[in-house]
Amino acid sequence: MIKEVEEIIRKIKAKEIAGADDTAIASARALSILAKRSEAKTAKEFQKEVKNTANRLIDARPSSSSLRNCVSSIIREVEAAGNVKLVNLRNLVEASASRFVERINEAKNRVGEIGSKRIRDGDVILTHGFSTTVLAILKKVAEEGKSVHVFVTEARPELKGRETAQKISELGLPVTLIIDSAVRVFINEIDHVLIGAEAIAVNGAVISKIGAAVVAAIAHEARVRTLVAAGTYKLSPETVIGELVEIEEGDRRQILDSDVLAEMKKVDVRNPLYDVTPPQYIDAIITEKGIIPPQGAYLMLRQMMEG
Amino acid sequence: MHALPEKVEEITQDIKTMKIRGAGKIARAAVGALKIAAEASKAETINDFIDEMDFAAKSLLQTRPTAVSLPNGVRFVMGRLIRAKNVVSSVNDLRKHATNAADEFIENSRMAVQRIGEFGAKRIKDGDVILTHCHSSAVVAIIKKAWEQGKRIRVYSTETRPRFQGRITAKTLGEAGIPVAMIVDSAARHFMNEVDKVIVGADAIAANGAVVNKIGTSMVALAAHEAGVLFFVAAETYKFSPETMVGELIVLEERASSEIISPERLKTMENVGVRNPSFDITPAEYIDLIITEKGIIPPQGAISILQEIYGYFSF
Repeated sequence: MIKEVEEIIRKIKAKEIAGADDTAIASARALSILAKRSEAKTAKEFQKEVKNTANRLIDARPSSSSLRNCVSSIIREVEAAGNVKLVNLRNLVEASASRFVERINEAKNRVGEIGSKRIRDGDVILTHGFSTTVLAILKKVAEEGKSVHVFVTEARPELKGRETAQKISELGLPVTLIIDSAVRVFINEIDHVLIGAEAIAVNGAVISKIGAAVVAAIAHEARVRTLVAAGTYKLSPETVIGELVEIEEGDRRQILDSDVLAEMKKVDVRNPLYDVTPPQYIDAIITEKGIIPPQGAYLMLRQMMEG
Repeated sequence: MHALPEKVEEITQDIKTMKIRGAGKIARAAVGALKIAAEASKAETINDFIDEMDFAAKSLLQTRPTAVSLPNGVRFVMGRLIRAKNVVSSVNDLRKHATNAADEFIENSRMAVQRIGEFGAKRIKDGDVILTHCHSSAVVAIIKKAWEQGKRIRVYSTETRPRFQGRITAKTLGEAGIPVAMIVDSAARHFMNEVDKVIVGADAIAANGAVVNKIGTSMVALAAHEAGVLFFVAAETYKFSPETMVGELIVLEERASSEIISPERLKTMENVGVRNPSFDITPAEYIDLIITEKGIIPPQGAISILQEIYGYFSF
């Protein structure tokens, strides 16, 4: 047991580390720390330890494809290495972890550049949830001097939208904050809906912050385009073999605090953290490899899995 | 210049300051005030009586300009007076028409929620899963009635930002023993496949069957429509808006940003504004039925309800 590793697992589970990318980066760091500090005596023992920790990281946030992809890519390298000395294996895990982090950061910059091309001067954008990839696009938009107005939903129950509003306003772009329920009232003023993703399934369905699917349905109804900004490390390989992406539920106290709950006998709380936006509501997914229609998710996954 | 009787003035103030609130209560209070005005009038001619009543009516209409139930209550009484004006022989006869009309409106309004409960419960089947948004006493009446009839139902109640009226709904139903799960407004679509019927209340209903209700209703309706789930509106007939028959649009009130985010927090965010519309409009094509105390109608029937009550415009 390494205290720092345990701490990362705890934070991921408790959503103290929240975003899809931050979660993946944290899981890479956990394995990297393990590589440095493991007290394993043999390569085999170390390998077992890495796999074990990898599984615990996945269990801490089962819906996160980026985390899963991150630890799986490290495990794959460990397995491919075969019989090597313990010290080599340690180095390999560390190198593999830092490569994945680099991949995330590069992808985000690239998505920012590619995505920004889709935004025109004068556009009004609506975003939901908190996505560092969406922020990367808006940062580029602001740098290019385009005048863009952004509607931001508050995103109950965690109210992450406030953070999004703050970050966008710091880019110098004007922001209008609204409640999640008000999206349909304003949709006719919007040119593009732009959201991030927690995971992307093989059919191009996008798992994102609860409410994203409603926003996309409203946009579809009003013939407003919905763009998803996501690095390819968000693609979920498990869905190729028919696995469903698990939708986690959060703490009920996010919706009702304990005092109110105690008063409300018989009242249950359901708090799904994500929902699934069907591919027919998505116009394009902006990845670091280019813009694809949601139907292109399958092809990208195949290419990714084939190495 | 007319003066309002003291009691009428007091009721007018209570409506204005929101001491009296809720669509039904406002309407009943305003109509009650008209009855008091009729009883207190010392007018000697029919025209003077009408003038005095008209003054009281206008004072009441100015209290909450966006409410639909209040002007409808006032219109119910005043419409009756105008129509009776040419057939009565004395001020006292006319006064009787006014007080009768007021009594009838108040009684109807009280009975309406109960009738809606009875009509609506017939549309609920054993085992149904119901989703509701915000808090509506008519919706609660339907769900409670169905439960009393022994139908094993369960309910999803959205919390209803920004003011969380969904918590009142959840608490009320929970206390009646009905299993209820609270969800965020955004999760309505996520659970829609489990739902058999969505039932919501209304703040106003337009002549074309469009329903004005708490912000978020139209997106719940969209999610229901998309999933092929039935969408019912429960509303007393005094929520139908006659102005919309002549093409007026219903004004959507927008409230303070402090309902969404604290002024202190907002102040730290440069370039950030807040929009806070309180209502939205659900188009008629997403609505399957409107349950009123006069019976169940399709949204296309809104115009016939309006015509039945108000006829064509006379004042």
